[in-house]
Amino acid sequence: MFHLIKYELRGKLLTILGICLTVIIGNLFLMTKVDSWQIGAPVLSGFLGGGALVVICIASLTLMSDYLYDDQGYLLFTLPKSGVSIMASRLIVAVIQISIVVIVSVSMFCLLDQGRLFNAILQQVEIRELLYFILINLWTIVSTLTFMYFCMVVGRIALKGKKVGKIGSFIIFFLLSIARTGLSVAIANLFPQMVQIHSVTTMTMNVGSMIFDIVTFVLLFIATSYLLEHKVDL
Amino acid sequence: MYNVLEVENLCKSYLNKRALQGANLTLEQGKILGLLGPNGSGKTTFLKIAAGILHPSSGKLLIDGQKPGVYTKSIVSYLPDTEYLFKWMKIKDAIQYFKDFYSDFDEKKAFTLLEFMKLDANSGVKSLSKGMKEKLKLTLVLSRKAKLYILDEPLGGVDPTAREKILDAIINNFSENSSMIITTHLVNDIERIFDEVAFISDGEIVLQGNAEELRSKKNKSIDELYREVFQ
Repeated sequence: MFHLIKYELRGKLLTILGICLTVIIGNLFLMTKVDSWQIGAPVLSGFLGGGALVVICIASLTLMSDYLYDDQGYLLFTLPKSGVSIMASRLIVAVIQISIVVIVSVSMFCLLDQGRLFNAILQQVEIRELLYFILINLWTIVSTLTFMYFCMVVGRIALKGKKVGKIGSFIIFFLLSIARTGLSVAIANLFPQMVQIHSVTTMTMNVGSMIFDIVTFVLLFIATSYLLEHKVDL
Repeated sequence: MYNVLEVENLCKSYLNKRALQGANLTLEQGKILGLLGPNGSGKTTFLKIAAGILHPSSGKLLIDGQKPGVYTKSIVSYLPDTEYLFKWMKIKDAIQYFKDFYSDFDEKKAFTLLEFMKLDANSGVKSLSKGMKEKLKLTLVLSRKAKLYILDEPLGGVDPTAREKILDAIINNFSENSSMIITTHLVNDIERIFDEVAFISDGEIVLQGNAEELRSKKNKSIDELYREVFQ
């Protein structure tokens, strides 16, 4: 799996570098305007970071779609690698590239802001709570991407054409999202026990929904791995 | 001699098309099989199933006694008729890629073949001509010590001089412990290396046999036989 991650990261290197350079150059420009624009500069830096995050998240989707629809799939799916390895490597690469962009964006924001917001946060929350915050966000990224990859793979298997398959995947994603949310709400109503997580902000989470999310993630991961290994036709 | 490949009643259907309709085939160790047929006859579908990137609707295909999967991918060296290498790669990256993923990959052999094919390891994959890409793909595929080589149109879009070079590479690098399936439309150019031939039409194997026996029995070359079967 290490090699799968290595080559995937090498392939995405230019995308990651391009996004990071855009963030760095954009922030350097904003630093020259801090005095005249005042609060506007950090706000724009935040938007720049948000934009970079959106772009890298979209790029993370191509980690799967490129292989399902393009000739590169012949390279990946003829390797003696299990579906689990392929799936896990996609998620790890996605987390690494998203983390790099987030770290660069946050670092540039801190430089621009001269660490004021970061210090303010550190004064109010403990390191442990900050770690919770990071872990919760990582979990959100991994579980969301797993769900999206599952929809892509099902769309590819069910609908053969590239265009039809991609549109189909989106429809599957839309319908399954509704079903998943509905089930989660029903479970939350059935088991109303709540737990408070003190992160950067205090979050109240339903225990039943949390367990449902974890079980859903495991099932989707296994299902996607199985489909990749046994059902995807190139 | 044991059968590296065993195929029984192999069928593959798409929504409105049956690409394979009960194909039967066996391939012994040490033999080179020419799988011959016109466009749309099911050749590539057959090879893709053997390579493990397409799944049969019914029937059985066993490689070294196993269904296509992780194990068979480790002993099958497949040359698809697509440009599947990453565009960011240099030739040396592609060699490293195969070395990293296939334990049977022989790096030394790969560099010897590169030299034979007159390819520069520092060239970018993107900058190669179609013929050069074909030579690179063949270098990568033949540098493995696989039990079964599957070559889909290895001479496709390649000029006659390069064809000779590719054929020489195939012959010189083939071992008796391996087997090979080759599809081609250029039957005349390649028929001399076939031990066995199988003619496929509309997803069915319509004729299979030893190449030499077929030649003497029908008193025709395989190319002439091909034209007779598919005229």
